[in-house]
Amino acid sequence: MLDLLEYIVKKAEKQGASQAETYFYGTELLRTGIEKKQVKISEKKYDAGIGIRVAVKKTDGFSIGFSYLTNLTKKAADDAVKQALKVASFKKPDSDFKSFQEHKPTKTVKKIYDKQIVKIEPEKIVDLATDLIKAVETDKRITTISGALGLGIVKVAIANSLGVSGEFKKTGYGAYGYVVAQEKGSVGVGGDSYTACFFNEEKTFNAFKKARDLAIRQLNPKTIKTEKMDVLLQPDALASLLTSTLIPEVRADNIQKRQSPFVEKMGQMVASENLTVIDDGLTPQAAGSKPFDDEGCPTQTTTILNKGQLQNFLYNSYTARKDNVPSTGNAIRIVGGFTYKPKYAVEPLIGPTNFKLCAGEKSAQAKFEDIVSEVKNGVIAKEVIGAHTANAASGEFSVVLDTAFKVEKGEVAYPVRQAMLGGNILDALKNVVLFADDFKQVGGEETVISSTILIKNVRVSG
Amino acid sequence: MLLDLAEKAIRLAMDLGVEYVDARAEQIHSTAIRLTNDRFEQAVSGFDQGLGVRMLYKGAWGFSSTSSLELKDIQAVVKITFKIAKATSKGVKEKAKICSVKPLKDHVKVKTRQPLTEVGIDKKMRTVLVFSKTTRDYSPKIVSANLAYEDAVGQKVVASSDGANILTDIGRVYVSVNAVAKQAQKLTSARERLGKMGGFELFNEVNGDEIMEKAAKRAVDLLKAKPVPSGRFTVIADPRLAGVFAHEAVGHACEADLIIAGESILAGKIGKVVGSKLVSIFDDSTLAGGWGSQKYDDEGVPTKKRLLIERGVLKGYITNREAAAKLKLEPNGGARAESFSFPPIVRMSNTYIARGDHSFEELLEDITHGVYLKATRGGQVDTAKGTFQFNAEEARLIEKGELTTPLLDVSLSGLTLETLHNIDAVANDFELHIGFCGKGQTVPVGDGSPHIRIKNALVGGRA
Repeated sequence: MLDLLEYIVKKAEKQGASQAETYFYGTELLRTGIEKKQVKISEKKYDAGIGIRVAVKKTDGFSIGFSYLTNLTKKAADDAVKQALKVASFKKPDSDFKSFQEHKPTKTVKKIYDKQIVKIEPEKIVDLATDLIKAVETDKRITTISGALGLGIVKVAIANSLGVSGEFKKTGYGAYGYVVAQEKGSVGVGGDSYTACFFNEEKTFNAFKKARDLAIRQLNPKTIKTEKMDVLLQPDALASLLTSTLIPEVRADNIQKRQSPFVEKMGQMVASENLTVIDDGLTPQAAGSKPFDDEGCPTQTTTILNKGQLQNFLYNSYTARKDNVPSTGNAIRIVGGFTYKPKYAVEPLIGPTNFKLCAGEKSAQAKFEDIVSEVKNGVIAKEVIGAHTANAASGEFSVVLDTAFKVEKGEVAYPVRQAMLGGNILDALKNVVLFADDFKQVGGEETVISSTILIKNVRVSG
Repeated sequence: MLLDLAEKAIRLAMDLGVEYVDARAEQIHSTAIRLTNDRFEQAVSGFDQGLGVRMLYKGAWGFSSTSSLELKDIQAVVKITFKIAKATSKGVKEKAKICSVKPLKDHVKVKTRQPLTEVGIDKKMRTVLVFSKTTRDYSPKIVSANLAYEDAVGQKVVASSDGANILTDIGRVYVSVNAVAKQAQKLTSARERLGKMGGFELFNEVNGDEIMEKAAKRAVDLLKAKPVPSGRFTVIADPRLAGVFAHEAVGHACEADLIIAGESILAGKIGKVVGSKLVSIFDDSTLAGGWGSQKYDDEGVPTKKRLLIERGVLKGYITNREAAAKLKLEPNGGARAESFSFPPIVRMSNTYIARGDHSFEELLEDITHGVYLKATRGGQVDTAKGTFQFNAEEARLIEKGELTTPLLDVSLSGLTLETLHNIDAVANDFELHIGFCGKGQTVPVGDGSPHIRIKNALVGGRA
């Protein structure tokens, strides 16, 4: 693949580009769906393409053009180069653009390619799904078991005019179980997932069993009073909430656009001293890990909040040059929005790799059970609903606490029928007190790794 | 050519001994532009094509897709689909069946005066740039304008082993704006969208600048808004929010695949009272100008206007061929796929609450203390439990029948059935808006409603 990419870079340079960059992304995905306690459908997809960026020098700066191709031939590549140059000709020069990513040596990332996944036949996944259903179907109250198992193989290659030239392979595995239980008109719902680079049967069973246990424990919920109480947000809930608040707010592009509450807050205490936040692209087995980002910049470990103090933002090469700092290796080719676009069809923006939350001090870390036992009046939420409606520019959110349980006098008392948590993410982060020991990774390319956190004394509406 | 390839795939699959096969092929030119503060973050035109094959073998489904239309790749994809359908059949307990439909042949054309293929990306970029300037020029308080433009033009085909054979022309164009305003430390944002099925004539038919200014004005007005107190209130939902409620809380729960899967509170409730007598809800794929309209679904079945709730009584579901067979209902053309690379599943089209007979003022006058919720950044629903959450972009306090203090960052949550029963007034106005619906795959949909009044609704805020 690198041969074709380097051919394209040379071709673009010959046709008038000062710099060119090419990015190959190819995937092979297998997914088996479970519906109503049985295996329903299996799907296999292949997709591959190349994205081309060109920088054309004009009198007052560079203009960037982009195009892509899915027919991976030299002829199609020639046409795509012309198209990218055409788009560049229409654009005003961007005085902030200085260069694409320069070459830097990458570090090795361990355990992102599972040789076993490549060999797994569809029959094995169907058999696993059948066994999962059997393992979970242990209670008459369970009316539905749904979910999906997915395997993916990803190939990435990149080359540019500045000597960046690299490729890597990565695998992904994801399992999601969803269980509904019914008893005398009451409905209990539970879901759980497992995501990693490696296939893991045991963890898959654990996720499905957890979904089952939650569905049963959610039966016969009670309403709660509106009052201030302690809130235990579990990893899935945090991942949803942070993806729509803190993560976009620490992206350098949003800071430069002044669309973040962290503008001009560098070096300040913006969260509880109990909270440290790191973006780590090198974590073994984590879905967000990779040796280099989507512009070819080596990934790294970046401390964003150190014991509550704002220390860094997430950068790609463009925003880094604008602020005159090195890129943090957070260029990512994913755009939000409505129509799904494969990565090769998207120009790089900024996103996390593995966004990790951890205790600022050892004293802020405790066992999950011990944390619960200290809560006099509170609620535990496994998930939140509606986080994507948060206002990322200001950090304001209002979400429904889902798969939630009331905690009274140090014990999990009963399932909660309906409760809402509103506020500003900055206020919430200032009230973080403790971290549990139940670390979990949630997400794919952009992963959040966290344990349950205890937030003290916030208003919950019942 | 697309039809020939789809039929070739079907013949190859039938030779392997499958019960049923359908094939969908597409060739689409698309443009995507994203502009923030006059800088193009994305500007790309591309061409995508491919074919997806779905097979039913011993009651199990297999699906696979390829982005190549070369004969050898189509042969390969048929083989892989058969292989995975066969593997899946080993895990099937109850065999999937599909109902029979009369196979139809048709070519559905799209009306357009200015085809998207005849407009260069430069002109599209200039259009978006003008919209950005309009938004930013509205007020110095507008600190940011995020514009997105997307279009798609081409053809898609669906063919089945039953003999269905539908060629559909595609033409769709869409712009959204998110205006961000700032004063002191306060940041607010407001969003507007415009779009149509057709071509670039959209921008001659609709005053886009006016829509941009509307977003900018709302963002600036929100700077004066205060946080809302949480609690239970009588609320009035505007047509946008009420339309999203119809879609999220009711429409999803009426999707027949979720009914069968045991993931909907409306399962087994046809003929039963599920809401107030004032509530009638439709899902209508045939609505002229609807963002979610289509003549045939992605199984080649003609679509319909579906009555979901009539005066509080549940009347029907949205079905595909498999769900219709299983539930012994009529197939009503509810199968949709995002593209050739996804299998069709049960989806909504244009979902709306029918008009009532009160004026907006009449809805207001009985409220001593309530909240008026307007527009939305979206919502989420759990169809199995029947719970929902929606955010309102802006709100006003209602005091003694009058709209008073502007409020911000408000959300509405509740239980679907309880909320349907608590609707105690429906206005005689109506608006249909464009939206997108995600269910593992994203499709364009329309949401509509008049203003509605809901008693005892849970409003969440941060005050």
